[in-house]
Amino acid sequence: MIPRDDNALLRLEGVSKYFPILNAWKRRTGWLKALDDVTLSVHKGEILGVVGESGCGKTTLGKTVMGIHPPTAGKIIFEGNDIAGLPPHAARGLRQHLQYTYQDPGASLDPRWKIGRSLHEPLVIHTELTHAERQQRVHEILDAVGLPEEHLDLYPHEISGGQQRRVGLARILTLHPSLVVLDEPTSGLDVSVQATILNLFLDLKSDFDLTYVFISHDLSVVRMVCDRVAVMYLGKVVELGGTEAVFSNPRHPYTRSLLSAIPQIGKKRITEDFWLEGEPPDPGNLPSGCRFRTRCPIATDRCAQDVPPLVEHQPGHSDACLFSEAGA
Amino acid sequence: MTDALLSVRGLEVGFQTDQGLARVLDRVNFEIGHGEIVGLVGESGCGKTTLARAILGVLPKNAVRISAGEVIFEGEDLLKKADHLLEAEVRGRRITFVPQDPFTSFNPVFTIGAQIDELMKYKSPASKAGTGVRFYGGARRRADRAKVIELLRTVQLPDPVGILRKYPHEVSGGQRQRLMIAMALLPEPQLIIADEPTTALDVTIQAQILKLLRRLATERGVSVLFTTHDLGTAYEICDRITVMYAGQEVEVAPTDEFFAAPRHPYTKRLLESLPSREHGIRGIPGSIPRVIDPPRGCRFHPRCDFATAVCTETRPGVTEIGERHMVRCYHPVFSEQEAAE
Repeated sequence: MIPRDDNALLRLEGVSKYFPILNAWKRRTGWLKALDDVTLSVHKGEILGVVGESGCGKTTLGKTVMGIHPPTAGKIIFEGNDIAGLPPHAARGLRQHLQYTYQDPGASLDPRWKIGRSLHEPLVIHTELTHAERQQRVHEILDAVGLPEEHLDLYPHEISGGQQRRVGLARILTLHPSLVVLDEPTSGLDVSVQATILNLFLDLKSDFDLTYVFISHDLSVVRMVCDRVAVMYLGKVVELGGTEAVFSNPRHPYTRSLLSAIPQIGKKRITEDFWLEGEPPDPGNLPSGCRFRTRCPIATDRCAQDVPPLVEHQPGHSDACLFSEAGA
Repeated sequence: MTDALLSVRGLEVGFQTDQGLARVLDRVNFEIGHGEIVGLVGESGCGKTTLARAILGVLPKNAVRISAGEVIFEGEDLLKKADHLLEAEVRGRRITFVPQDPFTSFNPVFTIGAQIDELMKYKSPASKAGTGVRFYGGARRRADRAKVIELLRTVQLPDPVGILRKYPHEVSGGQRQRLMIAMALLPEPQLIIADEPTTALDVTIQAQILKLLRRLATERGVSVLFTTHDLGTAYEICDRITVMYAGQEVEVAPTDEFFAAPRHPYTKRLLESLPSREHGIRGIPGSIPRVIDPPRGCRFHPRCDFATAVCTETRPGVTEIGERHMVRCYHPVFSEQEAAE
């Protein structure tokens, strides 16, 4: 098991989130295990990347941490307190310190509100500031994320995707949170815009002393910005470790296949030597044992019986594969 | 080049909007040879989809203004061709299309089989162009069905017979994109226009789809126009790459040379903004210009480090800088070492 560490800002202990699968008569016919016994911790001041393909549970992880979904089982410890399943009034006070940016910033801003009103809203909910004080906070934050003041009087559809991201960030930073969950912060952006947004994240992190959980499917971005990475496959964390260790020496076969699927300019083309076949199985009907075994090149009969635990084979680098010793 | 399958010359396309004429394409030149995969790369809003649609002739008639240029496909100007002939002979027959989003491009209320039959009824290579709509006989139907199943096998779909009875929501995104590629290949086209075919897919599925597209195009000698904003995928499958910026094509080069020695300042900045070890995270300062009142001359000049007075006046012509490597810039970039030579 991963040892308990004391400088963890956020710690998940055996967190599971199951969604019921209902048939046409609203009877439950099974469980969709979006998160299954996830244990990990986020240290203060770090950027933890959560990567995986769509449907692997990375967004559910973010939303469960935020309390948008109550976990089915497990503990979520934030700054020393268990916050899993808190009642709404108690959760509200907490939300100031724990913030979430949505995948699609355009859709998460009210189309009929001007940007200024959207920026005021969190302050109205969470603080007792007067209008003039709020105005000042908003101006400060707008300056920090690099938006001109005229934007306060624009509607969300009048600004570009990159600027909408900035507004989304400004909105949560007005509250001075300590942990921010960034859900696919750069998806849908062009590379040149993506680069400026990533730089903004890094600058704001040092200015505001933030900790990020960086959920993304883009591995090359994760490699650039994250300190540690958790690789997820169908609701389980299959590998967890320092970014460099995971990228240069991946231990789990899934991580290896995921890394070999990224097109790398100037390297060997994946169209010539990509080996992973098939698609992820239906999450409502998971294979027994290791979930990756149906696509894994080194799977044996043992993989169908035992669920491999997440084991720390090297200090700070754990993986969930029965053969990771042999594979490494 | 004279042996080009498709060549677009000086194409100018605008859209009439409330604010005025949006000049989306500005004198664009573009070429695809036989059996070649050409990547059309650029950021969103640079006009790559508009170019693809102009070639197909499916731009909205009420708003589009094509003021100059020609689209020569197999020696014939498609812009001058009558619309019903385009529909009967070219679209879906000689030029087919793979859409970006496999989730919305099937009709959800018909089975996949019914939709493929519909395609074969009108566009099967066994039927002559413009006929075969009134009568779709049993013999041809059976022959078409056999061909469909064979092709579904080639695109590596599990259980091709069973999948024809399924509805679109029952198959995964990767499988839907395989179906789309199969449907694009069924009419035996000369050119496939693939509009960001892997953007909506995961990396492992993307790798499989790219591999498939590359193999089929090579085996069947089909040309592919592959538009993408992802330089990595363009590197994977393209023979040649054309870069567009704000409605102007700025550089054309064979893939390896394109990545090794980009000459246009925009291309260079674009490659540097990819997250990588050497460059760190570096964007391009400024933002892309509005197409309503674009900058005069080279549209990149407000963001360019090398811009001079001449850049703001007239658009640079085509300079052939290497073998099949064209750049439209007054100040092409060379590394220090090359400049010394």
